[in-house]
Amino acid sequence: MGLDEAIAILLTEGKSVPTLRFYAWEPLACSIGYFQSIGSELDLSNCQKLGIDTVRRITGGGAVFHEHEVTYSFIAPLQAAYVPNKVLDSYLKVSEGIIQGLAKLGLKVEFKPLNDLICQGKKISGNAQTRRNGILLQHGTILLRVDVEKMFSILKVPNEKIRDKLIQDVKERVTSLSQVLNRVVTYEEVAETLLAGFQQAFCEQEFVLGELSPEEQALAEKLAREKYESDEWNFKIS
Amino acid sequence: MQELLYKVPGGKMLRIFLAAEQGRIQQVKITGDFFLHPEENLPKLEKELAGVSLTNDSLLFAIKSFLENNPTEVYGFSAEDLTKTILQVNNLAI
Repeated sequence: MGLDEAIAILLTEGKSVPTLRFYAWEPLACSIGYFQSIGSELDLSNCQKLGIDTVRRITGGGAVFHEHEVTYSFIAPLQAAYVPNKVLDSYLKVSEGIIQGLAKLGLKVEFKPLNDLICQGKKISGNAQTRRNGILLQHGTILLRVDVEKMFSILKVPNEKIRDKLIQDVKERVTSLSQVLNRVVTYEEVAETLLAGFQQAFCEQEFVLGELSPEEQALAEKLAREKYESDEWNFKIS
Repeated sequence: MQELLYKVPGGKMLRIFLAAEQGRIQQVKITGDFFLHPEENLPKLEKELAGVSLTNDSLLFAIKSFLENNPTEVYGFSAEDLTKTILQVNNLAI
């Protein structure tokens, strides 16, 4: 989270370049949306017991358990020709990278407004964006595998009696790449195919493989320490 | 504070926390998995709603005027949905 924001901030200062980044979470983590109440969404004591980090995102949307997935972030100036002005259009444009990437694995994936991607009738990717200081930051997740039972040991359920029903609902609504492809799918394979998809969707842009700059890393660490690890931020809506 | 979770049909989840006094909003917290740009407008709206009478017309008017005066893009609920949900939380308390 710190890195996404660091790149966005440095981009406004001309010290970063528009960036597409793929990453995974270590340790495992659960992120909640900007407007969510952390105590209402997450079973915090269970997260602690299981060693799962919890963090509030700068983007809206729902709680996400980041386990077997490829996470991406796309950070670019809003005035760039390849970033559509309208929120819905920009979700679609960035999603196009994922859609074309997953097409290379033989999958037909559809955009479902506002922020979901659907494969074989079920959600396979969730996305969220924010627009600040002239920068579009969209991040999202593409599921490699999904363990719904584990997910529900971390998410709070309004009522224990309906836990099984909620688990069943999610199983009916959510899928993963290993499920639809019926084989083991690795992070590396998917990150690579997604990169190819983004190159196709943003074919007018040149993509250059790069490392994080020392400045990006330093600011990300500062933001992690001072913001994303702080109760002030994570519990700002308790 | 009273709390209510409401899934907006075709929209997102709203979880509202409300403290009311003598038919008026004392404090309201609007939370959920919706999107709202710019994000900073939500706490402003919450402040604006303090003191507003808990009737459909006053609430809807207050929310709509805020959104008109503070250009905000909301995805996941409408002014009507928010009004209805806040009134429902209030009904829990009565």
